[in-house]
Amino acid sequence: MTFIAPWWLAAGVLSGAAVVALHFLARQRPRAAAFPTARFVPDVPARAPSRAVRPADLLLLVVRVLVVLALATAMAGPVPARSRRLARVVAVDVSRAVKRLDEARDSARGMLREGDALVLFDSAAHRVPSAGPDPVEALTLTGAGARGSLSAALVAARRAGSVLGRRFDSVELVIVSPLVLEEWDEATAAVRAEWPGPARLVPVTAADQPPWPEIVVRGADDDPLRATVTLLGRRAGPPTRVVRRAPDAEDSLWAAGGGTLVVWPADPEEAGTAQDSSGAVLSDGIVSVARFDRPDSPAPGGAVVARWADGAPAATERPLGSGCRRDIAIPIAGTGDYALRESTLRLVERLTSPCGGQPDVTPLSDAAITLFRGAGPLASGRALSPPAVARSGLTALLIGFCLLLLGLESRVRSLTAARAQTP
Amino acid sequence: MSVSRYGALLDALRGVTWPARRASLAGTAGTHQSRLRGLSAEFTEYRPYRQGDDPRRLDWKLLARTDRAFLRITSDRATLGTVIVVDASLSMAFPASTLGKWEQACALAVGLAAVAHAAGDPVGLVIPSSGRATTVEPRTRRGILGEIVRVLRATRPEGDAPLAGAVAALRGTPRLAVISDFLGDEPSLRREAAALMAGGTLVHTAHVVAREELSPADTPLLATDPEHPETARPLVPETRVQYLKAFGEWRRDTARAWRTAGAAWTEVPSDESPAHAVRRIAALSPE
Repeated sequence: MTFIAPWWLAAGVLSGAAVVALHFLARQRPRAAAFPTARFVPDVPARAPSRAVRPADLLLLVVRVLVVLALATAMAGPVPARSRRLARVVAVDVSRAVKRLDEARDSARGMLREGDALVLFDSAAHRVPSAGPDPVEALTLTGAGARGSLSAALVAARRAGSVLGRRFDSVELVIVSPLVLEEWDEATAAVRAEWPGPARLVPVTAADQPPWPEIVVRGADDDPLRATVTLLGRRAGPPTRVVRRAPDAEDSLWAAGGGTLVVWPADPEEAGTAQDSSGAVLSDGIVSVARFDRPDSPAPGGAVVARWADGAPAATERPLGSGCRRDIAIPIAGTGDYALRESTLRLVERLTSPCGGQPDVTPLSDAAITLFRGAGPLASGRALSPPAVARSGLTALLIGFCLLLLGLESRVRSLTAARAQTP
Repeated sequence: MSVSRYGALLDALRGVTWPARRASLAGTAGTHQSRLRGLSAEFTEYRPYRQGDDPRRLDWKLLARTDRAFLRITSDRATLGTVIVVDASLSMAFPASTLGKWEQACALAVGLAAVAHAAGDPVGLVIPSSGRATTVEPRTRRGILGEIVRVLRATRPEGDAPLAGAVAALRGTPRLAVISDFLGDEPSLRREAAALMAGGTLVHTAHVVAREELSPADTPLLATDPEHPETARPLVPETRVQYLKAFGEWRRDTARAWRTAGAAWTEVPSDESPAHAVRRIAALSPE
């Protein structure tokens, strides 16, 4: 048993001692009561101390001391003592970056023990309930082509660690992942710092880097986008179909079969109604600046893959059968060199990438690995779950006990007073 | 409040007599031995015939046997008018929760009145107060007991009610019963009672004492005289022994003084059975 504020215990002991002292050494004037034969009582000072202690007074004293001690113990915030054992939070990567799921499963099974927490992550993370003989069996690849996020994994692991920290003395973080570049974002370093200890990294084989898709543009011969695509060079990956008009049923059928359909109208609706003088469009760190004849109508709903500088969606992607459809409302000017700029090439490359974006399974740099691994002693349970936020039923129990004792004290006091009424 | 409240007491006192141990003054024919000689059948003595005596009282058989004229003398019976004086001062309202002393005093008064009334004696009641005393004239009629009960139940002990003056006004009463705790004007009362006793009044006293006064609880308290609030003394374990000693001595001295004056003195704790107490009082004879 530990206490959040142990000094309350000392205060309680002192208060209890004061109650005892007052009870026995009180020199109060006895309570006045009518007594016809008072003239026969010796005429001595009325403040004579009385050291007689009757059983009812003793009971009242005991109850009062218990009230004080119970209240002080409740205020001290008792928390059940932590076990001296070590627990683990095992975060397993089930994203598209993992080449073989069975390898990840075996690695996780090798690390998991009874009482440990299992977290599965790709673009999001969730804790797997520990009920069942083998929670690792629930490990499956979630969603086709889901991109992993180490940030999401760390957040879920931190939450799981907070729960384990209430019961265990130390908690170890284990990451089972290929640790590739596409899983690292700008928040990963900051989120990693929230775990107060090192992480054990269990690498698994990363998926093969797929080739960039072949881009097939269906539009006019003088389409400036064709020039951009040409500059990107030949690709050997599954084709991405770019239609420069409204898609037809054949296009949708093709996308539903697993292809990536990019709907990129050459003449967006209401073109020219808004002249974005200092326009820019951003996508995955790519920034393309130009004067855009930006259309008023936003891109249709879905996951945003590109935004205007003011945050409005410029391109969205939504699933379509086994594939996806990407709607882009970024006009490519037919004049000027916009179509030939490097930023435009990168933007087009991104916007014509496969569903979910082109995987980047480049391993993290050594510096990133070192940062991610961390150093020092394992995270302590107290650091993960500070006693101040630990919930303990003992406090509520003690307060309830204290209220019960207060009721009892009132009853005993009234009984004592009733006895004193009749001398 | 009706007599039925004291039904059990009256049942328990059925058949109890309260005879006068001394011959009473002549009055209405009753159960008590009269000082005068009368024409009852109870023969007491012979007296030689003197001129002027009623010849009907001659014992003719004795005259025939002895040729001497003697009168046959017999005892007469008379009633004994009884007045019960009940102390209704504030000290009788103790303990405050039960009014034990007052309830006992009322029960004693009703019991004694019932016993006297059953013997055919006129019985009355006087409740002194700081103002005008409440009085029920001695009567023998059937409803007198109910009237006494009504008066008692309508009275609340309060104030300082000196008994001496009320007793002094009862000169000539054949029998007087004083029910009190004697914590008020006891010396004055004793003097007046002595004067009445000198005039032939039979005086019975019932000293009502609360059990809580005889054996106070251990709880320390500041004992305050209800009739004299300025008297406040601490009744704590250290003073309890001295209190019991002083109170006991006073009770003994007071009893001795009253007995010496000629009264019948009975101490009645508030928790004693009223019927038992009445029997004790009725059995006791004034000196």
